[in-house]
Amino acid sequence: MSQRSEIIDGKKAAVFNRGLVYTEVLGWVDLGHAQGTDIIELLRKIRQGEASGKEFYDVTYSQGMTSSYGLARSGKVMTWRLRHGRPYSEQKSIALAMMMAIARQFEIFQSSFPNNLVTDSGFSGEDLVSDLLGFYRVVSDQNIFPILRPVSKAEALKRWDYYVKIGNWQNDTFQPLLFPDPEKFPHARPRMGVLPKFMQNVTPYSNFLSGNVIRSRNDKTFVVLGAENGRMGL
Amino acid sequence: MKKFIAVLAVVLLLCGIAFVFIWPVLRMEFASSAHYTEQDKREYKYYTPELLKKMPRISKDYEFHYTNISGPQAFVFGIHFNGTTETSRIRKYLISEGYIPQKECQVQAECWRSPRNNDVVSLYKLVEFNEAGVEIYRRPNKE
Repeated sequence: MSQRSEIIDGKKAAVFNRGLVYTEVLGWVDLGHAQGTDIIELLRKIRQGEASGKEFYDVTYSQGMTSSYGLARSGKVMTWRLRHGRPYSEQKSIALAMMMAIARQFEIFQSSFPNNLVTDSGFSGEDLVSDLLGFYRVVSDQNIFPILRPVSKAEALKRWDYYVKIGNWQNDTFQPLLFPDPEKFPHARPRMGVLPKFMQNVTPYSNFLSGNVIRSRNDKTFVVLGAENGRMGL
Repeated sequence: MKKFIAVLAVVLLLCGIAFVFIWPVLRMEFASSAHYTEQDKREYKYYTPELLKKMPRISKDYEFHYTNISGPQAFVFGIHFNGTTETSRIRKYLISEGYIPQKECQVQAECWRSPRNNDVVSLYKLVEFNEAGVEIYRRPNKE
């Protein structure tokens, strides 16, 4: 659930692990979602599976929400079975397909009762496109932020104040949702944009008839209450 | 009947008092982000990791932040200094705490790691803004 106080200047986008920036290409970007650390972890699991020497290996990916001291944790998790011998280009496709599937399910989960009582983040305009940016931040060699054209903090605040908080504008696709400059385009409404080329390089894996990738029949919801203190390292 | 009402009133009063004390803690526990200073005692005590509490104050103008990232499930704890980019004291402190500079960093900053935990500590300078700071990136839960 993004808040006004999280908005930062676009020039700081490549430096911070968190914060909200407005970019002219992708619209709002939640830098927390866009770090890609979950993708690094997922690709590492696939590499480990390939190195295990087993004919088939299982890979798990999840998205969730955790309270500060781990009092409550919930989300969506899925496991796919992969046949040994997936080339790196296919590994990226599989990782993208897993991320996209779980990210959608997690957004539905967030927007359903009782989660919608505590968060308005379900399909919030910036979530899915920020997840996708996280993926390409890991698999792409390019310096991405100059391509995305992030704006200054003052420009971003102007959009936030005009269109009201972004949780009100839902986006259930991985396409950008753009908020035109209200000074240049009075009475404008948010509109869908187009992904930049570098964010269209990988196609989500779909060749499930090959038998090389077996999807689990039931993706699971996990709910953990007070079982683990996520702040043990404090 | 009067006795029953009195007992009910006491129970309701106790519940009310408990709620008044628990509610702020619940709000902090489930907050998606927080910006606070050292003077905000409750937030400072609740959110701030020891590494940041002991971080050298390289400027008198500084603030803390906490972010709970849903989806990829990560936490970011940070201290941000205004009016300076001189970070040598922070570097010395990180070394004394067992942190080692890394060759690679996901963000445009210096990343540091310790063999004692899985945190990634990033030390950044924003020369154009005359600002600097430290962020701790933590992913404790992986299903």
